[in-house]
Amino acid sequence: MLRRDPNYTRLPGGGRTLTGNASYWLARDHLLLVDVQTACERYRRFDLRDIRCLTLVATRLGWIDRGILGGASLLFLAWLLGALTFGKLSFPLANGDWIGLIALAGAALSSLTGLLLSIRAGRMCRVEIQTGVQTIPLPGLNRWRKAEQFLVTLTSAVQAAQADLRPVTEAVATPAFTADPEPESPADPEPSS
Amino acid sequence: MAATAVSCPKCRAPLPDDPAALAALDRCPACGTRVKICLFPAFTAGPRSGALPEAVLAEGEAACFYHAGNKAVVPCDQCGRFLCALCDLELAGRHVCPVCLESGAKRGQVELLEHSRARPDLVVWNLLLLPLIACGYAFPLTALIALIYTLVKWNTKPSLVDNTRARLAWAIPVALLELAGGVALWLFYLRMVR
Repeated sequence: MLRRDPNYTRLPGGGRTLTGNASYWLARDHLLLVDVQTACERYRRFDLRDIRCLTLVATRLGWIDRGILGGASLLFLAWLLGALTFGKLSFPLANGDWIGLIALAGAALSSLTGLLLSIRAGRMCRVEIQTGVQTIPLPGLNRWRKAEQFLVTLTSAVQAAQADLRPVTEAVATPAFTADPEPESPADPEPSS
Repeated sequence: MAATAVSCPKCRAPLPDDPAALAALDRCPACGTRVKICLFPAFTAGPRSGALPEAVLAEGEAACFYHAGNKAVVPCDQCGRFLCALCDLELAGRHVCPVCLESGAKRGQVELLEHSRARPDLVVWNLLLLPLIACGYAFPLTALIALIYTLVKWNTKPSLVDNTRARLAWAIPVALLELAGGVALWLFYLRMVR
């Protein structure tokens, strides 16, 4: 297991995806993505020397999430208040239906908690990684704050792995080795008199 | 300069080519969405070039098993064949030849080349829990299937992130309990019908 493997460190970020969950593990020379799906887990390894850039983009999915949870919270709270204030108007709850009231309060509380957790987690985002040959989205990195923490940890590892890489233009300007100077052409023999 | 352009993940519009402008970018010029781009030295560095083999110059010099004209630089850690710089594949500190690498990958011996593993524990727990919610009458049958599946898949390669064996072990008593409960429920139902 990677948790007990000293060669791997778990990176912040990762979490639930549409079909399972994803986690990120940093090794000495590569980043390992473990994407657990319905009946299998898939691995993707990115050589740290191959990673060219990481792109974060904000998405509006968080607003949909908050809208649904906020709407549900309002609905349940209004219903609960109505049931407490005007017992008969709060169909389908009958007067003295304490189990129904407790269920309603539980639903209101859980949707409100979900809303607060969603607000606390911050805005949503999508992250893409670009290597020399591919650009792929990173699953499970859905929150901007978590993704930034992931980026900070990964950036230092990638910078260290690519410390000896130089821009093409600079590499061309400074050759890797210097050739021996060309031997001077022998001086023209003095014309014989 | 970068060979592959960076594009906005949302609208797919190409972003500026200049690395300095790209690193300073806060919003996509096309769709206005907030973006953050982290560039690494590999972005501006050229493509990586592999080591070039040297030709055999003197007679009696060790040559590559696969390329007789190339000088051998290292033996394969798996089969011992001499390899030139072209055939030498380094994998987690080991030097292997392409043939050993291919056969190892096919047999699943090289962990670094694995791209997926089955998760029988997830299947078993889905079989145990989902029928309880979705299809109550079927759960004795699904519990039996889950029990058989657990025993068949007991020796599967474990997951890299979760304790597969523990999850499978916990599934056995749950499956037995569900099976017993299901059979009792069916017997009770049949007695009621009669």
